[in-house]
Amino acid sequence: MIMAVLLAAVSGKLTACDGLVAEEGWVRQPPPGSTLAAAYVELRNIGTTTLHITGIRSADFNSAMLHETLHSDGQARMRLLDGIDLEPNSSFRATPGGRHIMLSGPTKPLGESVSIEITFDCGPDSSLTAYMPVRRKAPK
Amino acid sequence: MQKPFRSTPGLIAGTLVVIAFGAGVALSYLHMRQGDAAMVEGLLWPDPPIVSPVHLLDHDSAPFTLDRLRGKWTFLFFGFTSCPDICPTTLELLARAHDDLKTHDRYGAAGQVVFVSVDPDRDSPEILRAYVQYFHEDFIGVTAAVEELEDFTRELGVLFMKVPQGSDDYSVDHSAGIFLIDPDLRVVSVITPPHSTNTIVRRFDEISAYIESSL
Repeated sequence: MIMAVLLAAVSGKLTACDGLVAEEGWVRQPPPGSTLAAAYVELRNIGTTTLHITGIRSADFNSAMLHETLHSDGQARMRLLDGIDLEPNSSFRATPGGRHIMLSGPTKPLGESVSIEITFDCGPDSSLTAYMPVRRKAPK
Repeated sequence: MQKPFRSTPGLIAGTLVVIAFGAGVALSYLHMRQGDAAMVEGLLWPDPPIVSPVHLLDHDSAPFTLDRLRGKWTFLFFGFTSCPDICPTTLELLARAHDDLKTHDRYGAAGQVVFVSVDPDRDSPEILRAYVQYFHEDFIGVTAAVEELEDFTRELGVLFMKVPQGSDDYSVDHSAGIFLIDPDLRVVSVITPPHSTNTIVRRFDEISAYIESSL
């Protein structure tokens, strides 16, 4: 299992939570003066049962929350999402300008390419930890 | 001596024909121009809002008034530095667009991107300077006391509102549109999200071409 996780971390892909896969994750570097960052990732359920992601945490930030930037009447509103339900063969994409993981209070310097640990809880005894690089700019 | 008198009705009729023809041409031209305007995506025409006098401070604590907008093209975006998603995302795209447009005839070296902070309680000029210049050294950050910000944003139809996040923190709901202001202080477009560099550049190119052809 440890070997599997290590291999997955190197390849940028991790599998746990009975079929949960985190791919293409990255964390936007907070600009000077800001202690808030946003993480973006694609979560896929390649298993056979519905997954309920009930919590998100990071060892590298004081708090992690799932948020969504909503656009209505020309206004941008940031709102908290309770969790994610992923049916088999479905995916959840967090992308700039939309859903994102809001990270606040970094516990280490956030230089470019620094690896950030983010854990998705699928239940009391099941979680997936993914490692996402800090990037100054979004990947093209 | 009677001849000119008898010819007056003909002269009047001829004059009316000429006037009618001229009016017809003018109306056709106006109609055509309005039709052209309708073909330009996102163009607010023929009655774009005009930016009212503003009393803001830039990131060097210098006054930011209409003189800083007059005579050049400006992209205006509202936000705050503690905004983790839409603000950095949009400013990154604007930085790319700004670089692309620097060689554009109409945007040129004078074209500018101005970030208006709607969170003056937290965004001091010093914080704003570091923030905007992280995205592009040319960017200008401005803000003002809430009352003055409200005067400015009201004219543009922009709303902003503090929203509590936990016991001692807050976010700010705000407009996510990019306002394009022409050199005559007219708000000629509001580019709505989702934003992309290509959309920003294309919108500027099409709208500025139309405005220039209208002169």
